[in-house]
Amino acid sequence: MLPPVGPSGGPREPMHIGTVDSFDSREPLSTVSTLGTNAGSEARVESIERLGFLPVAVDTITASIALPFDLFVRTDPRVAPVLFRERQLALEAGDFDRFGDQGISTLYIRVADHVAYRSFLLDTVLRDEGVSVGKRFRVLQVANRAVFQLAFSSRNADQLVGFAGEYGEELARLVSDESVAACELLDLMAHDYYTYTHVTNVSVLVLLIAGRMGMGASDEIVALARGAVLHDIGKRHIAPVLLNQERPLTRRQREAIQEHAKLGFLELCHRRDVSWDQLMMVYQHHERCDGQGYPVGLVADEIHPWARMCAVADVYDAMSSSRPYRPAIPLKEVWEVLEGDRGSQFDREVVKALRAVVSS
Amino acid sequence: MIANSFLGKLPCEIVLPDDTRAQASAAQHVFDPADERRRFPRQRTRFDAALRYYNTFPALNRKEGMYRVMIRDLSRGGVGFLHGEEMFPGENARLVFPNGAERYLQVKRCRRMGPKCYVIGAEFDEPLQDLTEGRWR
Repeated sequence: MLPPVGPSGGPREPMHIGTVDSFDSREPLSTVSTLGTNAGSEARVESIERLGFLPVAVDTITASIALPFDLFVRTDPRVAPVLFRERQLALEAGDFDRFGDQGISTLYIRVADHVAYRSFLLDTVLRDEGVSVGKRFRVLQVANRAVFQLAFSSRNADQLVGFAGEYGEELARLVSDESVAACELLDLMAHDYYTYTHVTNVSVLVLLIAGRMGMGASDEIVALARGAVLHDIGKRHIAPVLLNQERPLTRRQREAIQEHAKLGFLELCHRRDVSWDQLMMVYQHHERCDGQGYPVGLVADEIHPWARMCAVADVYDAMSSSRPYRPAIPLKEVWEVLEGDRGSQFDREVVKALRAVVSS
Repeated sequence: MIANSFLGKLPCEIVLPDDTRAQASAAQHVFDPADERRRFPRQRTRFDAALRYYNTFPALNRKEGMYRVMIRDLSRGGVGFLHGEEMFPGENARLVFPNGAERYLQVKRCRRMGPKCYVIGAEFDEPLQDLTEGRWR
């Protein structure tokens, strides 16, 4: 058994900091996955959440760097995590060996420390060019998930727009990295259809499509990524029970969900830090080139080019991910929709670019 | 009172769709009452009015001046009209009725009926007092 170690080397009692009421019930913190590991049963993680802890994967922690948060370990699922290393102290190589020996792949931090954890990851892993692209991408996802969920559940759009700014920039930097192969990123995408995962996937796909289509200016690429991160912001105003409903939607329910494009636009349209191009990604990403989309029913070139990219990425990810009411659709069928008879719904050039990205 | 000759001179950018079905759809399209949570019942009607953009989005570079739009339905709280340009939710405009009355409006939704034909649903800043047939024409 690993002893919990404080600065003095003595054992510490676990710290319980209560529940986290502010998280959106749509995406309970129990969905927070740990980097590169299986976090175990949902029930177990949920109980962790109630205790005020977040699971983090061992391999996201870099050795010999002082941690800006307390780190906890849990060797018995029946008891709460216990303090393993106090903030300002570092994990050493020997600690990792012991984790490995005992089969521990998940550690814990306090929920309140998630911002410090995120900064730590961004500073130690994302800035380190020696770290593999795969690990950088996974770390980027893990580091931002909790922040996204907090921002998404906030009534104030400031948090989400601020988050989109930073996250979009990080994603754009990663995807623009010449050493990164598109297929590597595609392989690493999760497909659980939680909003955060979806937003991340759509952003990466849009960036890959844009790169393929020759969109090169870095400030434009970053702006595009930020818009993609924001594209579903209007879903914050749709009842979670509706978004996750397993039985088929009625016409009224479908119309209520379709409101999200307009609601997102209305939420952002008076902000100076969101451009018109980005707004169009929010407002028009469900428009279809044949006029059968919503909210307006625009056709072809009437739809903003960024929204056309977002539409293809959105459909590709939505269909290839599992939903509460159906499993993931096989890629062959996804391509039939994008390229087949129904392909008139989508911008041919954008679909071609996505095909090239995925086949590369 | 606005003279019909004045209204008639205003630019009207509406191009009704070519085919009869689309035309009928544009003429009859009304936004779903339940969806709009209407407080006031609406009347089908048909007359022209003048519209001037007001407090719109800078990115749209709207032209100054007045446009002739076709009023399709009217309630005390809002209006449905055809216009030749897409309008966006949250966009504001001033509507001048043929009888000279004016209301500021805010766009709630917009649906494309043809290349230069959009049905706009909007809410007034101040309710109309009565909807007696012909009162606003």
